Amino acid sequence: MSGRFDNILTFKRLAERLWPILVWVAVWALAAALLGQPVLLPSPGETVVRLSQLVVTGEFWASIACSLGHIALGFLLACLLGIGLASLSYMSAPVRRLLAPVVGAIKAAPVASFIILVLVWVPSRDLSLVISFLMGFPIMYTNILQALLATDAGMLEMALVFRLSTAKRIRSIYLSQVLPSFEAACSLALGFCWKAGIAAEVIGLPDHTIGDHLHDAKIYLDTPSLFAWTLAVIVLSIIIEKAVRALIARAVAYVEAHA
Amino acid sequence: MDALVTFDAVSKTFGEKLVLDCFSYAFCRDTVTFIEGPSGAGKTTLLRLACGLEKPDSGTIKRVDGLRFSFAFQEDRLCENLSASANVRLACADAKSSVPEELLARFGLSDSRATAVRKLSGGERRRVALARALAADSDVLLLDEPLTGLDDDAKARAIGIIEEHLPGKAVLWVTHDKDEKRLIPSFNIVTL
Repeated sequence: MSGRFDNILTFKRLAERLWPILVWVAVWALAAALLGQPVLLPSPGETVVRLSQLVVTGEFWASIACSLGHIALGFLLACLLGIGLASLSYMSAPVRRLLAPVVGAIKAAPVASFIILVLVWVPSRDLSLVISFLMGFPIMYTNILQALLATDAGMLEMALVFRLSTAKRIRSIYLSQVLPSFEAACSLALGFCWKAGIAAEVIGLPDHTIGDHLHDAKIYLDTPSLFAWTLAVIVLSIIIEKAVRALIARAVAYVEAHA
Repeated sequence: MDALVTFDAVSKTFGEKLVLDCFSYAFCRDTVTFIEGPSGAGKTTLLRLACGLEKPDSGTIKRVDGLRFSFAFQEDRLCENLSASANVRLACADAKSSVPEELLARFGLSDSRATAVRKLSGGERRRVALARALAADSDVLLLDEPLTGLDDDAKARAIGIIEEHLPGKAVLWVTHDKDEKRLIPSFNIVTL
């Protein structure tokens, strides 16, 4: 009885998440049918057909792997440097003041300026790595630093009185404080890294990348391919975000269990 | 008597408010000192000064070298995401010590030891904070209204456990509750 009730609940939750998507797909299908010009707006069906043609090619997976590898590496570097420098800034006000203008400038500068500038310095194949790093770093740095600065002073006093070691302080106080902000920053930074990384590929045109294929789709007015690649990027983005969230949730559970 | 923390003409102000005025006292090993006074009289400030969390504006506080403190804060100051057991264990130098589990059991928290403290009731959290203060190896035990929020039975049980941990320590105990004093056999009183 309870199993059946759980199934009904699961179905209800699924339906609640699916219906808005279905409504927008229906709107898309209707708009495509009314226009009747796949070059301007391909239908959802045409997009899925094109995507199914793409996924059976080696080039599709090679492009996904190349773009994903570079953007993921940029994101990872943003995480590492963001966390490292935020920790340094937390410990040292002069470091915080020194980094503030740089982080502010990276946040405010248009991504196109960075892309053009970075193209002068690095080969186009590494452009998306650098750009995704530049997009992810200020988000990670700012979120982690704010979380650290908001650490409960009472808990730090408790750590002082009980002479907690640095490792114990990190596990029991700072990790609990930082992990929710880290999760939010990851979610935000991943989205920015993906968008900016692929935009960089469209400008830099490194071979065997998603950006390269998006550019080809534009040159040849192959709008169904443009939509298919975009759909692939969206699906990948969702999968990666869910995977990162699951990883963080496991890290939180591990910390709670082993602190 | 073995004085562990000695206040000599200590004054402390917060803004315009004079909280401690030329306070002198020696807190000795094997002695319980109840700190009394109306709200805002400086009872908590006295404990904070004793362990170095506050600096005096004037006067001196002498502490014996290598002195170890333990503190049951007025607010529980527990790590919300950690279990009751992990919170108590934090204060133990020996990671494998059985003291945290034993203390939690004595405080009637055996069933809650693996529960994250954010899920515990106010009274349970208070007992975890007390267990942590008692689990730490310390020379000076600072108790800031440690039994607030506990019912009579829990209070009596907690006082019994605290009493076992008094030998060898200087205890500074802030309280408004006459019962707490009645249950402790010998003590000094400082009225602010």
